[in-house]
Amino acid sequence: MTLPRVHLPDLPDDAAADDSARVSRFDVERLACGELRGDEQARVQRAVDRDPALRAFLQELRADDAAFLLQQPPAAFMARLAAATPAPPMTPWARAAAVLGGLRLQLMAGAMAAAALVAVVVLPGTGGDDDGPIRGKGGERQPALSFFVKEDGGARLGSAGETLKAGDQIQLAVKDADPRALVVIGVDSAGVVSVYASEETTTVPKGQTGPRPLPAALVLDDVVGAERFFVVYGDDLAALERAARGAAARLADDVKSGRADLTVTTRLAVDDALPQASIHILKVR
Amino acid sequence: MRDQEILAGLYRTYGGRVYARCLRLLKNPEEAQDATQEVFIKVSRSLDTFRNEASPLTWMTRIATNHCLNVIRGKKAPWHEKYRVEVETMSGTVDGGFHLLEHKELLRLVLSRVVERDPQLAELATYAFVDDMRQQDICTLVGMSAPTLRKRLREFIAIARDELSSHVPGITFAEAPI
Repeated sequence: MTLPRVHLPDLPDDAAADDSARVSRFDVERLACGELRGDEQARVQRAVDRDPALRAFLQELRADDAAFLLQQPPAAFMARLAAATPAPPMTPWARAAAVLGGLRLQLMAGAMAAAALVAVVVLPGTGGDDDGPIRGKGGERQPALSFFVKEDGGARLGSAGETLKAGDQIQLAVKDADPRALVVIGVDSAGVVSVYASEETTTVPKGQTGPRPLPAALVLDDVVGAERFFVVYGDDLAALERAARGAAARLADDVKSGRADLTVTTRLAVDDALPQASIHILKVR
Repeated sequence: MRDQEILAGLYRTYGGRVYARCLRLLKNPEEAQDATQEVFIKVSRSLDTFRNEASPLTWMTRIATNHCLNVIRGKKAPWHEKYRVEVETMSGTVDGGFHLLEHKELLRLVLSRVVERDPQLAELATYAFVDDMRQQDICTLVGMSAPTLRKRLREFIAIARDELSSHVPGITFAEAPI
């Protein structure tokens, strides 16, 4: 086997090494965290506006941070902090340990919730939800479509088939995949079809991990019964959206006529070559 | 503002950044969660200092980096086999070779080796080559002159070259960069 040639990093001579004018990814991280002010903020923002790679990186950071807070919400962290505060004799270390003991539990709970979701969606033959063929870089199966339920002070990962009430807020999250476009579309028990996302994914930076929350949260209406959300991937956005809308409309007709059950039907009738996944909720008043 | 409010605010603003950094270095979500927790424990012990920090991100980056490098240092692994596998996976996938900085897993392996013998060098290389920090920012962060930083980074490049040459028979390099 012929091994590929490796390029090692180069460093210029000291005289030519001044990189103070360069906008680095770390600068963009500081921008995302709101640390930059005045001229520095303007300089980095201009660079982001000009450079598609930096712009994509900033979007990735914001999506990652939003996903982190949705999956690891600070609410429990704060509650345990408050519970630990009334004990005045505690040393700073003891206080921190008490608070962060809560954080450990919270982090573990988040991981367990994520694991539970994966377990639910990949079980075959149960009439449960369909995770689809999206796989991570290491070949591991990853949930292509999930949702978070907003709660006071944060959010938690929702479960497939979870019962939710009218007025509850959820946020759908998708796993970006190799195909260039994706459509997220929903069908409810009244036969209403809603498109929640229809977008190219080519700007998603490589190496992005975890689900990407869609920008807007959904407030559940008062139509009771099942609602199923589908994500379908393809290379041609316009054709993909047409196919997804058409299949969703046919499914909606079947639901209205009683020929289909959204708790059981996990796939849209689109070309088998288009990867897809779905997850459903049950709405009550 | 009470300490817990400050800590929660830091968690909201920087928790995702810290976790992402830990995940990038450790490549394991559970380990990254534990590392994130450890970072915030350290932060909670230094809140008075944090109040005066112009860039908490920079400080937390340093805490997270050193913690993760320590975790990596505590592990033992068959490096040469991993090197070979990583290089071979690039065969036929790229024309004209590939850049070490674009192969994050291979770079991480080299860092893992360097941290065993020179933790400070691994820290500097992480900032420069993983995080793409500007040299002047690294100098400010670690309290080092620019010429010294560049001298140290050249040491890292030389080690990377030696590591790959030693453990991947037949490997070639595009140029002599130093």
